[in-house]
Amino acid sequence: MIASLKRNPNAIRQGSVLVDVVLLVIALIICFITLYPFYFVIIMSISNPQEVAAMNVFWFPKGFFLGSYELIVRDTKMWWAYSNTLIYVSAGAFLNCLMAVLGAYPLTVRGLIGRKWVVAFILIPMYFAGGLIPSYLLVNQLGLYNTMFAVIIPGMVSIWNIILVRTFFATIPEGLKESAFIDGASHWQMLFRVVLPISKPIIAVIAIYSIVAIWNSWFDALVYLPNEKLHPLQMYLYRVVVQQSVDLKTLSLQDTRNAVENMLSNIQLKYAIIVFTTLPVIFTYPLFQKYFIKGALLGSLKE
Amino acid sequence: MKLWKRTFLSGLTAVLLVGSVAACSSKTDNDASGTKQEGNGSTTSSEQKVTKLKMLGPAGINKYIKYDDRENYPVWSEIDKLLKNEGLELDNEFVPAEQYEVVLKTRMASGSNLPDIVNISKLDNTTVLNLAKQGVLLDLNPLIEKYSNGNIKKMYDQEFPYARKSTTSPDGKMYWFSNLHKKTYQGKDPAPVSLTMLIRKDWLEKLNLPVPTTADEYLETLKKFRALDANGNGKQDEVLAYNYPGQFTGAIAQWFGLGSGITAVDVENKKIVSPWYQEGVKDYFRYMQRLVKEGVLDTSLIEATGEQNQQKMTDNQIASLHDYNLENYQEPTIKGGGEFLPLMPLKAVEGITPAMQQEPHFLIFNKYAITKDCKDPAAAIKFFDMVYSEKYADLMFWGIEGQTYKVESNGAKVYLNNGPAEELAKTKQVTGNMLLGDTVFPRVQFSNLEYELSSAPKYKADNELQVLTYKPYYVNMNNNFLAIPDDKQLETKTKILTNLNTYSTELATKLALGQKSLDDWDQYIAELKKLGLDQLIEIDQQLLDRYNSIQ
Repeated sequence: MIASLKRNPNAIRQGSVLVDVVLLVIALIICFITLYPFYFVIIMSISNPQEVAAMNVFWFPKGFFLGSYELIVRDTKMWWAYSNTLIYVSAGAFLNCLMAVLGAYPLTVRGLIGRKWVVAFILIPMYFAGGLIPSYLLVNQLGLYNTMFAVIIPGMVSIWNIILVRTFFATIPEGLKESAFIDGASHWQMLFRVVLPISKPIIAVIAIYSIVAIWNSWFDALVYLPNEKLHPLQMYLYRVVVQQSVDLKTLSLQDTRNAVENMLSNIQLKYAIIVFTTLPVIFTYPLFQKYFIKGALLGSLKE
Repeated sequence: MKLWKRTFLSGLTAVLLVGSVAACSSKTDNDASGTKQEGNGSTTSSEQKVTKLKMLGPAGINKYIKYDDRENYPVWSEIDKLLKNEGLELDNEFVPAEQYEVVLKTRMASGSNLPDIVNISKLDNTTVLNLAKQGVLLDLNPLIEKYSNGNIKKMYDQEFPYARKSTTSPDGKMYWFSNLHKKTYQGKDPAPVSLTMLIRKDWLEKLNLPVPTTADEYLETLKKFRALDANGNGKQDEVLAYNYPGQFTGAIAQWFGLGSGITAVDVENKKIVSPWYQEGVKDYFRYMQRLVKEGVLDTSLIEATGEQNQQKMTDNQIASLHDYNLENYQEPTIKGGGEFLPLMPLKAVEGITPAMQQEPHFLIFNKYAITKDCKDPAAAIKFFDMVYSEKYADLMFWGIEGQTYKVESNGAKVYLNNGPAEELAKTKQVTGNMLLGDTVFPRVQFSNLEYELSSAPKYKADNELQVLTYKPYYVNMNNNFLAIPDDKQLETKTKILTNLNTYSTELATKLALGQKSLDDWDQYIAELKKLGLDQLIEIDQQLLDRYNSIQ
């Protein structure tokens, strides 16, 4: 085998069993590193709770127990959180696409006065945010605090998405637009009848980016939604994890008793909730994978 | 093209519709859960004046006993009656406990959307005093003088005189009410509990070993547990879980007569001490080094989280640990079962009487304040007058006689149901604390030792009876004995503690693990002095003196 390698300096290109094996092993190691945490969470969620608390589960489930799933499925709060997340995701993704398209189109119109200034202006908030307290005051003064809009509206305009869509629009041949104008199209008609139909790929990319981002977000809910009936799914998960990390050292005898009882019942629950909240996104990922790749490429294009 | 447009427009319509329905329903949900945003403080009806108070606090964390189901609990009807008698209606905004700190801090910092009464337990004293300076929180003393029916004063001055000491700010004002707790034995004697070393009783019996009476015997016993494979799993994995050797907060440090913190309160002698200057400190480190060298102390559990400890506990590996002498929550989690025997302080060094670490018989904790947006301070004080009444205290801590507790022939109250929360949620026989405690309803607790002893095994009860009179002792909550510092003291203390705490903990941990030599002792003490240890002792002594002088 070594002799054959010497004869053939470019073993990868020419094909070599040894190189194939090495590459396969590396690929398998990477696969293992990527997939094991998922597998670990799944086996922890279905093992005997005592074995889970003792951290004895590594390769195969020890015992079989679906009590944590039963607890989650019966918990009405979880279903509230699930339905809220669906509302946030659908409304948020749609509004993100809409705002990105409406924000990007004028910036591609040649002859728009001060176009470069507008572009420079919208870039500023991309780098400098207002800060937590000013944002809170704004949301509060707008009457959005403790309503679903507090999570949907502030997040519906993304400068990054606008830039991405603008870059895509700029690749549309100018001749196509001119011919539409010569045929008497207005800007609205131009946008909705000419530009958008050929921009589905970028819309799909923005939609997927938004869906994943909103599905995983919890911080806005932490600050703006004190009412737990409005919480999204990730906030529900956050609460279970935080509840478990109570510092027992600072508690009195009576409080320690309650805290230990809570901590124990949450150790396995945490894993079951992770499975429950992550699975939908994991299953949709392969379907949209090509758009993710496309999105990364689009972002790298220059005007 | 038309299809695309139609899809787009119908999508837009659907989202707007969903959005507005969701927003509307969110308001309705708010109302249903009592999480209302509207309302301007007080309203009156034509028949009886009812004042509405807006309250903000964390929701209870019990999964089974929920505030939302309060109407089903007899104890709520009783508390509701008390509120109605006072002409009060509460507009409670309960935020999930895990989220509460963020919500509270944001709201307080912005100074907007404030309720009438707020639970500010998550804010430290510095933040609270700053808010008071900005006028966000009201001084309670003039309000009590003007509006109280006398309940607050009675409870603070007669039943819990130490409460004023730890809640009066340096300018003589008081900005928050507290949870008040005291535990007595036989109706009058103070009943502290201890934080001590517990050792596996079943393993002692299994291996026919005597209960250790000195620190040396304790070490030998732990060694034997390992050598004789006490848990029977074929491995030498029986360990001592001692999480904080560098903070002097575990009971072993007190066996050497050391204070329970970098500075600690010697309550009996009204003195602040620091373990670094105490006689037994070098012996303490030598002893810890022996525990490490013999492989008895599990170094992976130093500064470990509750979950890490729990893993070893469940796996039946913990031979001894630091915990409350009356704990009853560890045993059920051990795989295969087990028993922990609490030890009295063990003699470690000739000439030093081992001290005990105890939780004092009284506790003052949590903070409830009245904000600047309170439209009717008289009603707010009325609420606290109700809270600091004996009837309320009884309902919160003991519940309803005949349902949740009974009175023994010796006059002591004893709980009737001690089952798990899941069971109690079904029978609805719960106390007020279980349903409402730590939300916006302060806890006032006249506890007794009798009920603790009645549910504890005899060996734990016997230990507790010895604890009652044991001296010397240090307390686990030193701050409970210090007055609130003024601006200058606070600034100096914060400045010192930032570096001193880190250095002291690191140094003590390394000395305990044998990673640093005791030969360089003078150098360590010089560095501690340089970082302000003496100054810290001086400030804490001033605070202790002021605490003792407040009447």
